[in-house]
Amino acid sequence: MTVSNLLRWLPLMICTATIAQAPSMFSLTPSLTQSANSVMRLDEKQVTIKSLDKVIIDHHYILTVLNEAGSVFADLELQYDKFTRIEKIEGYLYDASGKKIRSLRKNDISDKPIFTQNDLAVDDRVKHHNFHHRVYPYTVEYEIRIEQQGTFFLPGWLPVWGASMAIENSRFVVTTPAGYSLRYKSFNYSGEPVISSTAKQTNYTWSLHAFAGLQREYRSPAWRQVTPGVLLGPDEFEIEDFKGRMGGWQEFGEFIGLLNKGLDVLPLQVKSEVKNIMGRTSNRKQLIDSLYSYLQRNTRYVSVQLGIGGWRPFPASYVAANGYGDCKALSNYMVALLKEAGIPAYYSLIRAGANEADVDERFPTVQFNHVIVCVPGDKDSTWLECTSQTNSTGYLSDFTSNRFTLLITPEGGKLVRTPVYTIHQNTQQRYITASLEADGRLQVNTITEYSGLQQDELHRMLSSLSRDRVKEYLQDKLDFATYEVKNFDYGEIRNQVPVVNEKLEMEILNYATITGKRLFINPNIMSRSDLRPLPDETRRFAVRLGEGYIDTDSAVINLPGNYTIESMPPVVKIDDEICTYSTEVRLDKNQLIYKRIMKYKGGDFPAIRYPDIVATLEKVYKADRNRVVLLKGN
Amino acid sequence: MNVRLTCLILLFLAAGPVHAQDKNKYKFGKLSKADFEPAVYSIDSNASAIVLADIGSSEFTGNDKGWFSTEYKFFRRARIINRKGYDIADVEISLYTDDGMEEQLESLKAVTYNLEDGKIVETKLDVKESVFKTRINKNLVVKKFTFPAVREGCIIEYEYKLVSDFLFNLQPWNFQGDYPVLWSDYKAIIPQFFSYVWLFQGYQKFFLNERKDRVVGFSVNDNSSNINSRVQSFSAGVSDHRWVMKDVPALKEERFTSTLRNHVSRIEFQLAEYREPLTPRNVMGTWPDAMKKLLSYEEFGQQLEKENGWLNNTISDIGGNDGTPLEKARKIYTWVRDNITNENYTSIYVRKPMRQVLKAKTGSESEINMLLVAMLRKAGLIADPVMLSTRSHGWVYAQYPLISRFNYIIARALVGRDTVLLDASNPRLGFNRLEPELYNGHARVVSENADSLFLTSDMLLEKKSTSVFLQAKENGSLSGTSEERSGYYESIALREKIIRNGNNGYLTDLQKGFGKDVSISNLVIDSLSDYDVPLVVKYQFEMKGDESDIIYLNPMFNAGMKENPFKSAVRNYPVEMPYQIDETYLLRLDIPEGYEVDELPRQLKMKLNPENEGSFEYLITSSNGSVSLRSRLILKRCYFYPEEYDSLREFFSIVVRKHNEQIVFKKKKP
Repeated sequence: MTVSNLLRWLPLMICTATIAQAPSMFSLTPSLTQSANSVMRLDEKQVTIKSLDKVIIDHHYILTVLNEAGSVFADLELQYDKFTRIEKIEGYLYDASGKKIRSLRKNDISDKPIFTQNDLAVDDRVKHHNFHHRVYPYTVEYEIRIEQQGTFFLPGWLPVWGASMAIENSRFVVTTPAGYSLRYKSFNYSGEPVISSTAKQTNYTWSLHAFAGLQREYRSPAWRQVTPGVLLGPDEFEIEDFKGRMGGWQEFGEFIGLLNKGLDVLPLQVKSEVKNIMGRTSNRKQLIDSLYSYLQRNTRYVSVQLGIGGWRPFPASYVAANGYGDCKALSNYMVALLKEAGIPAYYSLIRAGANEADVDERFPTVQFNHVIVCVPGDKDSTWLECTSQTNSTGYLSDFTSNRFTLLITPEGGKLVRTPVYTIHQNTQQRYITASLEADGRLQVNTITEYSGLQQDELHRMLSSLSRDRVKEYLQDKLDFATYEVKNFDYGEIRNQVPVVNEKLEMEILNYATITGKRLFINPNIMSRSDLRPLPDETRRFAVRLGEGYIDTDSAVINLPGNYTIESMPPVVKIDDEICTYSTEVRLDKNQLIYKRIMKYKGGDFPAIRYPDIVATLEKVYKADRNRVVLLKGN
Repeated sequence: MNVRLTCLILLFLAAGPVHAQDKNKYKFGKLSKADFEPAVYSIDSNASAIVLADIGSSEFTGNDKGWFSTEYKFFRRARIINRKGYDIADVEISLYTDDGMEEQLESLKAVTYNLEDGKIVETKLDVKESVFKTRINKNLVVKKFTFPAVREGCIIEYEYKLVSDFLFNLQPWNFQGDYPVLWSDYKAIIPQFFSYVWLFQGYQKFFLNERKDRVVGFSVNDNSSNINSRVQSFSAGVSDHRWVMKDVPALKEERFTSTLRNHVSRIEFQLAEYREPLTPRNVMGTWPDAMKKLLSYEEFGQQLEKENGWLNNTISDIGGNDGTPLEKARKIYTWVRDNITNENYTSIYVRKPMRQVLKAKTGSESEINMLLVAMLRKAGLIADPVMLSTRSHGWVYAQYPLISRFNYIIARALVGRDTVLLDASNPRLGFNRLEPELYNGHARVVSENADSLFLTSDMLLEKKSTSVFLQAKENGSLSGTSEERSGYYESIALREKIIRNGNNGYLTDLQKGFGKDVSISNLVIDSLSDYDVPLVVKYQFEMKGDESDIIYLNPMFNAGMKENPFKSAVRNYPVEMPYQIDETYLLRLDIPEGYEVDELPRQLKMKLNPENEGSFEYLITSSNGSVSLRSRLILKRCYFYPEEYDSLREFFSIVVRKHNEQIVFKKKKP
């Protein structure tokens, strides 16, 4: 559902320099390589902005691969499209002593189109090369030159490619014509770039030396947020025949408005449909709802991304004729439908994806990969996801909620935030009645109401799978050893915060263990937490616990005959910044009565709180698995 | 194994009984409002889309290159019931291309029909603007489009013609697909001067299966020389074959299925021979013929024939000329495996000379194993390539030498009296070992004799044993050792993991399995780099004491089976397991000081079936202050019929239950 051309805008691994003799292994710095799987010996990336419509990217790097785990970075992968031309790829392989043992041959470079499932046509392709060497350590050296048309996007610098990569020397140089106004932002980088100017040009240089590798950590921020890097942004730019400015969000928005100009003309037949819909209601809210469901009934998501089409929508008339489009075309069409009905609405750029790192609001650049629609209102705006045929009106899901979006208004761009779904909106309420048979099998009936972000996954499944497939899914994914889903039913309530109601009827074999004397059973049948981070004495990065939610469970389990308690799990109560949790079970005649409440607060925590998080989640993990042991007879 | 034979009914020019001619009632654009009426279809009330008709035909015509072309016509009409079926509106047509020649897509037409206010509204595909072409590889170009104006309840319809000069590529026909098909109808009009073998597979029955013979005129024009084009006209007999299936259900994915390709109802063709009035020639030939031909190809056998003095240095450097044949073979195999990297390109043919594979130290699976054969021969051993089809690639036919059915090359070598099978393309495989993926029935030695081999999962045994000893310490804590000898194939996966994440990463995973109350120490991993034998993992662990009056303890700890591998309650296809299983778990446990056994799980011995092809025992006893357990699971068969599924599932359900049972210790009364 994303603008596929975003990929082209992610920083390419790219530079010049003279071919140096690759350093031998003997020159490695032990302190750097201790926990590294690969070492970047030298990495020089040079971006030369020749003019508003031409950028040259020269990338030269020498990487030593210490072991098999480090070999993932020995891959060369270069994406390109209509705006980029790969002018040169040279490569060399060196053995441990630094002796050159092979050179890249053109025939060994593969070239493939990049398709995702929903793409009908894209012009993105990828070139790929690997020396496939297996005697460690070894060194690869690559020299690449790429020519890019236009300056809408400028490549950035992310010198630490991944976990366990140490860096000896890495350098990023940007050269611009004198007088060119370059915008840049460094992050996790101490100091300022070195700037030098001549009459003709200006050079900006960033560098990184003797950087020990980093490890990935459980629930940490995105890699690019915790490692050094630089983002570049143009002020004035060109792309194909278009010109614009990007110094502020307002100007950026103006440019997008320019691209979209005149693309909102609806065919007469659609205009009359809008008129019909308007005839049926004068209530503004109902009208938005009717127009959105008109869009959902008559269109679907199909992606065609060719050239400027990666950024400019197909016109409304195209969507009307074909009944399909990508996020840009469908959002543009929705805005046109609303406009026809006299309701102003904005095409809004956003960076979509659950857990995706948000855009940097202080640095206007192309950081978006998706488009939605905002219908401004007196109190609340209504948000529309136009690539979904099933979302309820105004609901954004975990794909686009709680983040920045750039509204394209007649006055230019305005950066605002999309709605947050609160802990009280993301709920799961479950009632279970079950009866246990003498052989340990459990007959279970569940009624569950999922709301807000907690219904997203189910909603997606129900919207895409036939009943047969839903059954297969249920029969495969539930956490029981041997079971059968005998019946199931789902209902959806399309509120602004949508709800999925679920009824399941199951038979679980050997759920309880019944011996001559005893009965062992876990009264928590379906809501066992599986969050179980391990202690980490060297935690570095912040901990992102995600969105908050509330789960409530109650269960009544009928037992086969009379039992007395031998061992009952203790009442567990936790109340801290991570969650408020309680669980309780009691025996009432021949019934077990179980209750559980989990208020998971979510949010971001500093690394220093990591031990507390581990301790709390471990307590929950264990409490959710506590067993009741009962003795037969009175 | 006989199920395979029953579902691969081979028809060699056999004419079925002629049914009453059932006229095809589908004409492009001819539909009525009644076609939009059904809200569900009785064939599958849950279907999101239904193929109302798939109709196709293949025909031969003389062309102007002095030979023949095939003309394939395809028509589909489908109803989209709800949005979950929208993907049927996305169409991809594959065109074969080679040597500058490409199959031609002609007369493409596609229309969407919607019922609006009681009227059928047509929306046509803009063929010029909205059909996109992508080159996938050297031999494949794909044309893609999607239907316009797709809405719930609509009917889509398309047809096209494909003209091909590649006679070996007579279009196959799938009667079955992702959605149910109400009418599937394929006609092949085959001149009797071309003889094709037909290969039919699947479980669905024909509604019609007929053949009629007639005589038609052919005209072949040769203007390749441009000067004097020569037209040849003649009459020849043709056979009109027609196969129809009705109400074909959708294909379903299931666990433990090698590939759905083996189960889809499908017919395909292989050119066998030329007959009069052409110059008669056996095109397909016998196995020895086919192998001889492969041996003569530049992209295959010629690579073994070429002068290869360049191998001498490498072979003598690695000691390939010294020792017994077995020692030589081992040295050469190990060197190739450890030094030549697999590019993960699968094809039986080689793309570059062996000399270059050695120099670049990379190659496809086939290139690596062909180099291995060349080196073994150079060292004086008898070695040949062996051709097979991997399990996910589908079954092959032992009867016909259909080379295109094969996708993988390994090496066979004679060492003394034994033969060994070698795959040097897998970097963690031992000598004379193959992955279960390669055990897929028929395989063929590429030599003049064309020996046939049979490799089946039943030849593989995955044997695993775990021993745990636990001693009671003061205050109820337990201290123990665990030694786990993994199965051979599990060892490969574990080595992969350990090399990726390091020993510490492995320890972390172990620790995670036990939780915080158990601490693990002294991890020893044996045979990490000896790929010939299974991996052995040993460690010590301490369990915190429990002061309570009663201790509940699962004697399997983390080694028990926690999930029934057979999840689905119903089964359509046979179950294909990768290997036989033999898993033993032994435990000796001191009864904690001050406690006594209150209850032990019951002993159990059971058989999967009267033939004892699977068995499970769970023997637990307590004596002299300790508890001993022996759990053993054996499965001696890999292939089970759908009818046997229930008992298989029930069998594993009991294993899981027993592995979940508890020992109960009680504090002794003072």
